[in-house]
Amino acid sequence: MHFGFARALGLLLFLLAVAGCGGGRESKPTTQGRPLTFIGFDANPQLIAALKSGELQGVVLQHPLLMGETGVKTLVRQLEGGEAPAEKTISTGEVLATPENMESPEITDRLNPPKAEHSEGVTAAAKPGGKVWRVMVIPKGTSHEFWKSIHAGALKAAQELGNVEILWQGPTVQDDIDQQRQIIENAVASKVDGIVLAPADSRALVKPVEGAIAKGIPVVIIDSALDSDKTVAFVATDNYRGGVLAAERLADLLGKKGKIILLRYPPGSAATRDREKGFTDTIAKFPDITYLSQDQDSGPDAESARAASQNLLSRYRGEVEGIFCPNESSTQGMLGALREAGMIKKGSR
Amino acid sequence: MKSIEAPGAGSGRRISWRGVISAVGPVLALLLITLLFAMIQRGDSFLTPYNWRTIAVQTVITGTTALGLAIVIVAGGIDLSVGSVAALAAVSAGMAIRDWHCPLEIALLIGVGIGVLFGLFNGFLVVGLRVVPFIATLGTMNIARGLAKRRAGNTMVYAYDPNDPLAAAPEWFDTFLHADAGWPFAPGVWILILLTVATAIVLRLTVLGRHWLALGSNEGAARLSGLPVWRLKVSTYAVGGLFAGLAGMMLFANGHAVGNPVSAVGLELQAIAAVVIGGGSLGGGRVSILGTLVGALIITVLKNGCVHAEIASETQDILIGAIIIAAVAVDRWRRQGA
Repeated sequence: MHFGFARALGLLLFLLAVAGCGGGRESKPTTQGRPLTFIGFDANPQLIAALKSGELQGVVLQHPLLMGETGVKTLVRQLEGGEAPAEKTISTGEVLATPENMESPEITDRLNPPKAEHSEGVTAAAKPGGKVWRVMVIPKGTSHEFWKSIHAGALKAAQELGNVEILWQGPTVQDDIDQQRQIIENAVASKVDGIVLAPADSRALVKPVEGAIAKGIPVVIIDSALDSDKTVAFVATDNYRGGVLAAERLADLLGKKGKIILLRYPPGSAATRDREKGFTDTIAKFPDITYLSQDQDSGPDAESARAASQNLLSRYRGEVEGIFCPNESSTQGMLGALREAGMIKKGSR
Repeated sequence: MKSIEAPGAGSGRRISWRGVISAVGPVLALLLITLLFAMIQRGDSFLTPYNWRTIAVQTVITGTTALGLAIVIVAGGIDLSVGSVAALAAVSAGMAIRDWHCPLEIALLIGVGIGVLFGLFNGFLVVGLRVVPFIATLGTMNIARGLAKRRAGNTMVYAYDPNDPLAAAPEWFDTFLHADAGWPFAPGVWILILLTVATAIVLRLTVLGRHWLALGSNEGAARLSGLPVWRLKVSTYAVGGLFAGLAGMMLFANGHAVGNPVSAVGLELQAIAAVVIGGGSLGGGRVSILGTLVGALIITVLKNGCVHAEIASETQDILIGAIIIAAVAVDRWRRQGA
């Protein structure tokens, strides 16, 4: 009897506390006259729709198709005894898509890159008598649209070269370092001819990669840097510059003045770290742009990013004027949270 | 009124202080944490109604999963597959709409049905093949995750084409977990409250619930007294699966009708944490349904409060871990003395 009572009393006290302390504070304006500026990184169908409707004011686009293609082609050239690439770092370029320029042909191509539909490896027919190179391509994850395009690029290279078999193996959880390590070890054990890897961590994977190289399996790094000079090449977006582009766009739209949020991606990935660095370095040039928050991370997927964004928006509603998210899942999560909070409206600009 | 604690914890005629603490423990912890964050917050938005409505919607998915898990756990089992099953259910619902052009309601039923099916499968593995629950559901956790990714072709399943302005989920579904939808709470929060009440009633007031408790307290005794042990066990996993399916549909709503095959990784651990913080025993036989709900709320409040206190993400994880350990330690102390 008394337990039910005590429990009810506890709940009542709690509700009173919340109601009592919270009353009368809600009437904050949701915006202070200025529309919110929201810049993201990478695209997927929902983000493209948001760009079109003006909810997003810009996304930095990479060129995953070219990245996958160049990664495989560079590796095969090495396997066939060709010259090492003149530059160890090969940039595949980055552009800023905005609601204004998104109809232009070069942007539409980047917005809707081809995507590989199936995750199984695809065998390319060998030339008669020729050697078929078995190339393991290891993305950081498999669910982001970005990796589907990398995969398409790798398959495109295989198709054009005609003597390459692509083995596509990604970790089940985005950025799972241990799983990537296992995949690399398995690749070595199954005697693939070469590896194209997007490392989830710039240091933790150095050992397994150098182990593979020591066994005569060349490795090309794509997307995100690895702290090793033994790899064939590094094919990637200039992520730092991508962050700079985002920051310039944000500063431009804010009139070089305002309060902003940077929702980071969890530490470990060099690509997002460089984007964040490019962003913060550029923002530092504008003394009137200040951070409301820059020490929260989005977690690994869109759901976790959404929860993190909800918490941030609940905290800084009515204050925040600009937001940057450094990858697809964080941008997606933030978009959902902004819509929910009624802080962005279609066609607000 | 029937006590919500398990039998034996507080059938005494005198007021036992430990008993009182055990009843209000989780609520007290929640109050303390709330007060703490109210004091250390850097702005003034932590205690606003809007923020608490945000916290409420963030609790729904974990809370729903935890309720089902509470039933599995009270009967002496465990289910690690619920997170993966929720993701599989969301993917399946998305594909039902996108590929089969099902109406939303049917797709939701399909999703929940997938959850129940997986629950029954878990029950079969545990009872039929006699695999220990931890291992059996560890297996189905991987199976469900793999199926979700395979069926989804390893990418997001957009139930409605984002580029087609005419194809969109109905308003009620889109705003199901919006902090601003409904007063004082979003529809999803009301559903969670209803589910909590329903689960508590079934567990405490029905023969089935009593049998679950008896099974979890002492399986041998339950068998000797002629309870249909294997049917009872299967039923708890089916309930766990049902709630995982429901949680999956909420994930689906939260993602604006997008089924994400890699979502809800680790949801099972959060749900287990909620049950344990709420006073449930992983050994079975003892659980608090209200406590479980409060446990889920505590996890959300911790994450939310840390943002308001401007505590960095890394520190949040440490805090949550510490709270889980503290909850179990207090629970142990409480039982030794009771």
